[in-house]
Amino acid sequence: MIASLVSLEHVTKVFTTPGGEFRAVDDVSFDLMPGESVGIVGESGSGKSTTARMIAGLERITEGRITFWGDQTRPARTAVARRAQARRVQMVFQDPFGSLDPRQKLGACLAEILAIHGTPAGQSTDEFARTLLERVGLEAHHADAYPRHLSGGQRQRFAIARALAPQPHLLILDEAVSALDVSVQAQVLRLLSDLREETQLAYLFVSHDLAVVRQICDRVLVMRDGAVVEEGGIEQVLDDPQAAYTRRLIESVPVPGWTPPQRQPR
Amino acid sequence: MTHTEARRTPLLSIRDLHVRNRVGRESVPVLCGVDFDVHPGEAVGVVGESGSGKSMTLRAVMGQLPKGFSSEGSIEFDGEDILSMRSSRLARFRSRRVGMIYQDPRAHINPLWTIGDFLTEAVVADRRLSRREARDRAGRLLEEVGFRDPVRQMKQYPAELSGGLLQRVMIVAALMPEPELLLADEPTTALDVTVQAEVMSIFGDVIRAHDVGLLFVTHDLDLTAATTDRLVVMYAGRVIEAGPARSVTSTPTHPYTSALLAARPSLTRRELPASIPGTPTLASSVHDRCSFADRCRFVEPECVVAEPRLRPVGAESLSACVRTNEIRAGLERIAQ
Repeated sequence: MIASLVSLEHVTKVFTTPGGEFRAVDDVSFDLMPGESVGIVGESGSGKSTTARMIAGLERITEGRITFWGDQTRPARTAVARRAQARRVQMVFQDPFGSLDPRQKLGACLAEILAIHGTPAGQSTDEFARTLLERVGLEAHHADAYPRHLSGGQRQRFAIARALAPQPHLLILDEAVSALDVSVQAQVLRLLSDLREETQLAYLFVSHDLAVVRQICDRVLVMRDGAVVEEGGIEQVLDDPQAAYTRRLIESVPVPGWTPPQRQPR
Repeated sequence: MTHTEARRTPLLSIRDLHVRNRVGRESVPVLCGVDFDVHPGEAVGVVGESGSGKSMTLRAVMGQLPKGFSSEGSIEFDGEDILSMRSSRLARFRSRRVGMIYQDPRAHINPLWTIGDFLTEAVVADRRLSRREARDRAGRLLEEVGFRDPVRQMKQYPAELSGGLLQRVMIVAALMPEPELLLADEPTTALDVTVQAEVMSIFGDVIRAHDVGLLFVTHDLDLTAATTDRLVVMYAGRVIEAGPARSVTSTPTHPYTSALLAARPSLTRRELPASIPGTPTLASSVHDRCSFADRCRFVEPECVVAEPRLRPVGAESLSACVRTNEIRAGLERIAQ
């Protein structure tokens, strides 16, 4: 049996707000195999991003446990623990502009990460930085550019290059192509698909967009109000949905010839 | 559109609209010769990617170009040019004859006012309706867009409503002065997909019920096609194709439109969408050639000798592609 890369067992997240307790994620369990691409779809408030953030170690778990290669994750308190975590999982967000330092050249940004995490055997920092840029479809000269010099699509490519720098086992993409124009989105989807073939990287793809998830994921979890309402192979779930909510999600997507379904009064 | 409608005078008529932005000493073109009409009661979708000029066109229609931007050409509304209106006239036009709906309702509503006060304030201040009449009208409209208990809900504050409900409130606010035209800029982009479907359904209902025109700006072709009569496709500050919504999305006449259709990921099959090579062209970098020529797979020498003008294709469509008749079959195949 192949060991899971990530395993979530009865994971729950409760936020305490002035108005009381809010269960953002409620008893979620699933496994992610090495090299697998799993999608989490749902609408706002479904808990999909909170689940991803707990796996990335950005949120504390209230109940349950998450293991990487069988080892339980704990909040990284030391530099060593944080580095180990960075080599397990990296995250790419919707808006790369918000997560890039406007005063740091792209090459310097990568060099900083490589100084901490090292490079593959036989490659200098410069060489590996160039490899990373080229792998995401940027060019060597972009190492001297600042984030403001890049278009939206290029910025997202760079965010992916940066996430690849510590050579993680899992890449979490949280609405990573949602803000891109459709022609640019197609380019980034192609890149993500190629990357997976080359590197055996596992993806956790968090998105509200079912059509995008269909192109990238092998398996999908549908979340609503913190719980998983349906889970299965991507074709199975999208072509033959079992949960009423999944059906409603699919019917709401504008496709050629679509007309909005009848509304419900509030 | 039927023939009688076609002969009606347009409500909104944009003719050869040019907008330029002054950057330092230079004047940079943003819109280059935009041309289209909206007839009374007609829904028109303006589709394009970032930088295509779709939102700038809408701002020009509102008479709200940013500082430093200048315009040429004309935007006639009911026979009067918006671009040459004095500010008092423009304010009257904005408060009475058009309603605007934005992408993010929360940014356009006062969080300290109740929904009821927000909806009635403008029409009462404008002396169109008494306070009581305004509240009655707001209540009826809220019911129409699906609020079950308008009297109670008018006492609520924006923070108590979800994004989808708030966007319905914005639709009601836009309808309050009984405008002839609604302008909507990506009104459902920030909403969840099930909520978007509901809001679009409401949009369809209210424009039919109130016989109001709609100018709908969005990046989503399939979404627009579902709710509009005609589509205008923009690229690099230009209109490159226009026609009946269903025919633009099923039988496009411009290579950019077909490439855009092919770039959408499919919900029903796994097949990576075809990306459009290169990056979107800037309005300012097009000189005496087709704006899409650099990225077009059908490009020929004839495409780069002069800028093609919009010309009729068939009975109801316009295309700015000089090769549209030769490449028609190829365009349809790509778009499928």
